[in-house]
Amino acid sequence: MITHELIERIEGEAVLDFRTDREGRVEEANIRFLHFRGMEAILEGRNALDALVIAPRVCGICGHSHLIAAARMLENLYQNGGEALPITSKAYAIREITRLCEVMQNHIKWLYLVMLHESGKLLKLEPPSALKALYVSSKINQLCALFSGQWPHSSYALPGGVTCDPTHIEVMQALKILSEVEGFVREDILGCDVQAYEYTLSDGSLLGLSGDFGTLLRRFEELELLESGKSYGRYLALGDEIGVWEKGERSLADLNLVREDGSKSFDQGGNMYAKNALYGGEFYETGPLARAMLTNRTGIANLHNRYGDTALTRLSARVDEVVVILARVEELLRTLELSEASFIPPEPIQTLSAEGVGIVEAPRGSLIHRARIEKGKITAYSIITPTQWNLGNGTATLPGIAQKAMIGADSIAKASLIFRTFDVCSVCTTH
Amino acid sequence: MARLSKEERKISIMTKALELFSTEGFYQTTMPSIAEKIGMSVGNLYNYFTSKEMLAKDLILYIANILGEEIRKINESPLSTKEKIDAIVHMYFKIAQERPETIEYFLRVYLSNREVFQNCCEGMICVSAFVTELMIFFEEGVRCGDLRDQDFFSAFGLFMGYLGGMVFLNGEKILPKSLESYELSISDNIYHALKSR
Amino acid sequence: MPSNPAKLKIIWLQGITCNGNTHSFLNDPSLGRLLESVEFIHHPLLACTLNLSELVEHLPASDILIIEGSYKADFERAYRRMDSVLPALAAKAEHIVSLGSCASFGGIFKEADPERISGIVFDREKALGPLAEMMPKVITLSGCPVHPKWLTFVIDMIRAGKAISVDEFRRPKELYAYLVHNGCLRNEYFEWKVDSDRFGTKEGCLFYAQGCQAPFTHGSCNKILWNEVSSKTRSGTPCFGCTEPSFPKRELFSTKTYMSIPAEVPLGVPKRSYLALTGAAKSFHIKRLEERLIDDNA
Repeated sequence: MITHELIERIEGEAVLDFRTDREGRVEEANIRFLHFRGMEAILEGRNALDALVIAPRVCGICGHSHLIAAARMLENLYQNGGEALPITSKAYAIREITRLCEVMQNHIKWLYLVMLHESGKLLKLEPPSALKALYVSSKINQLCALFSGQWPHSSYALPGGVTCDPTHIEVMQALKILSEVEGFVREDILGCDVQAYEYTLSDGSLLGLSGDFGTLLRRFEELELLESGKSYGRYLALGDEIGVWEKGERSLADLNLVREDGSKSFDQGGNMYAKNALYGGEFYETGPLARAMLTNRTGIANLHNRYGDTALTRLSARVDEVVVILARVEELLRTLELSEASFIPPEPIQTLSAEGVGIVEAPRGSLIHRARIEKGKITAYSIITPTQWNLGNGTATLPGIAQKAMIGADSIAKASLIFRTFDVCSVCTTH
Repeated sequence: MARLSKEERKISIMTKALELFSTEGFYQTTMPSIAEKIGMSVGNLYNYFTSKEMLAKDLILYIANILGEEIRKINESPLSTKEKIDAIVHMYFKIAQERPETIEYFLRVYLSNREVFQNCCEGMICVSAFVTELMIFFEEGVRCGDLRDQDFFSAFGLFMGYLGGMVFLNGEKILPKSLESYELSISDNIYHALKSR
Repeated sequence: MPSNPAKLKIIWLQGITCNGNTHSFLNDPSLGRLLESVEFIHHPLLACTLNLSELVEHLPASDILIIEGSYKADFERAYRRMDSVLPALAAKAEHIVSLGSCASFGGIFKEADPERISGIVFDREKALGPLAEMMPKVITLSGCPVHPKWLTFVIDMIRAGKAISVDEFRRPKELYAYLVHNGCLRNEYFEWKVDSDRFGTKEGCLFYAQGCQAPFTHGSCNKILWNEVSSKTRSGTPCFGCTEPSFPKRELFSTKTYMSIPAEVPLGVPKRSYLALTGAAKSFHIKRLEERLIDDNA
């Protein structure tokens, strides 16, 4: 039987076409994204710097990652054009702080607005209030805005650095906000301090966590989904941690093996807008789990060893990333060297004809911006988003990452929930 | 004879002072010599201008306003950019011929004795009325596509330096022909140097 | 207004969008208070009564219909075309809020298909959108994105039954009569025409070279601060004019000049007056404004 399931409460909407057997078990799941906005075409013909304003508008929840990717692409383009453009460690650190803030708020929104909400619906529970999570997300975005001016849709990163020139006032405010966020993570998400949480991660007692993360895991257990969601177990990160993880082996990634397959898109006679992103012709998972495996984060690597790439591991990797980021942002703030320059002016972009690529680890995984410019004008622009990796659409015999994870689920409702563990974003996927 | 208002009186003083300054130079001209030329007491002269420097400053404002007003009329006319250049060149040479003291003052007093104007005429404040109109002329010329976009001062220097230089040569009686006979070729040159390519 | 007012019923529907206004709205720290007084019949992310499929099937009445994203007749939500969904919902709404520059004027996404994509009332500055006839009940909140407090202000005003005074694009005057320039920390540099020679410093005005559009862009960005703490110009970023029908212009990081003279001068100021003032201000060299603000770091 074929069922078309409309998926909302993501960024945009998606359709899952399920083929199920007599018991309702999922045999095949086709993923379709129907909305397309033509961001790349909008960028073409413009001054290359305009990408810093246009590209963030790909996505309301991860636009900052698009900004950083575009800025890195432009820096790479300068380098390829013969002008190396190093940024100061201060500019780098500030970009990291704001990028990581975006990742954190994304994960927290995903946990509360999507996972707790949708899992509760499946168990016929009253929808929980997500207000406390939204409040803390707004605080994280405030921390970001202390440097980036605003969130969403800042354009404060430019080839050469950042536009802001913060003082200790911003740094101290940021640390104060961060401790508030840390309190939320400890008391609400985990229900214990970070050390105790790390202990549960290593001894496999995560389900005993009293916080909302524990609640989510227990719901997955009740739904018998904890060990579902297995996919290929091979991972890719191209942004800050560059590598491929497969069968326990980590190797360097080769950017030349990245390819976009648009054979199913409308312009090729298909029925969707998204284009699959492939590495060496194959599907690879990107995102928090991939990053955890590639940086060999002990707790998550242990979970993976024990359970493989199950829903348990995937959910934990995303929540765990929030914990890791908190410590990282604090370190960046405490060591921020304000006396360095924020920005080193490059030659005018009008002098430049070259190609460039910028990659960033966005909330959902590796985000790639590529462009070619002639005398400062964009002649070609191409974006590959994380969800093109994870939510790519293969065939019945060779399914994509999330497709494979859904196969075997005993109902389409459960398969849809597994789908959401990948943190779906329609607007990014099709852009 | 009707009694002159203070403002009219001021202008008549300025007109006389202008002649003196532009022929004698700034330092040779004194408040007593100005008073004598006008036929008023030095004390009374100080009722109108508190110092020679203030008088000098008011004069440059006065000249900049005259020139600015003339260019403004040209700017607001329906002429083409090329015709506006013709008109500005014509206007400038005409004033140089009919009221040579105005241009002479600008070249020989204002530009040659910058120290006098330091405290009250920083930068281009006192000639703002004139410079502003040229800015508008250039801006509109570029906006409509007739003139090539470039730094304001490189265009300004080309235009005004050229005209000032010709008036100077004329004043030194070096030019073999009358000033107005150069108008057409000069405005052609200016247009060709500034026009968009 | 009844003494125990019922919750305002709000429908939040998205057209062609990036979700930026949705996420901007979620930044409102007093969201909880607001949610006590409103009920979302539909919202893309918050808990609501109807899901998208149910919404486009029932097309219910509402107190406020909020539209986020640009309009295109054949753009589909839950398999239904916008030209069947939007007018039906709009007809049954007491008030309509056009949220963000896409819904208001077409915005960035209009550029992908300029002939067919527009705002709901305005297509750039012309009232040619599908809801043009309903203009009297539309409030325009332009911006990319819109500040959450701008939206909650409008909702609060509607709740209080107060009339909102609007400009020619139906933007609330109390929010959009200001220019982004008002309240900018770099105002003194603007007054004395001290430009910022590079990005990444606290000093200098971004209007002369870096493309800042704040002196002719309507909005309260430097009055009602972003995320409660900052704004583009406060973080050294030029204003890109995102609240105006002309957004997005081109060459956003450089000021268009004709012979060094800004092609656009501050709103309502005659060019001649502006140039006269600029020439004067530039003649003075104010030492304090030419130095670093805090020189320990220099």
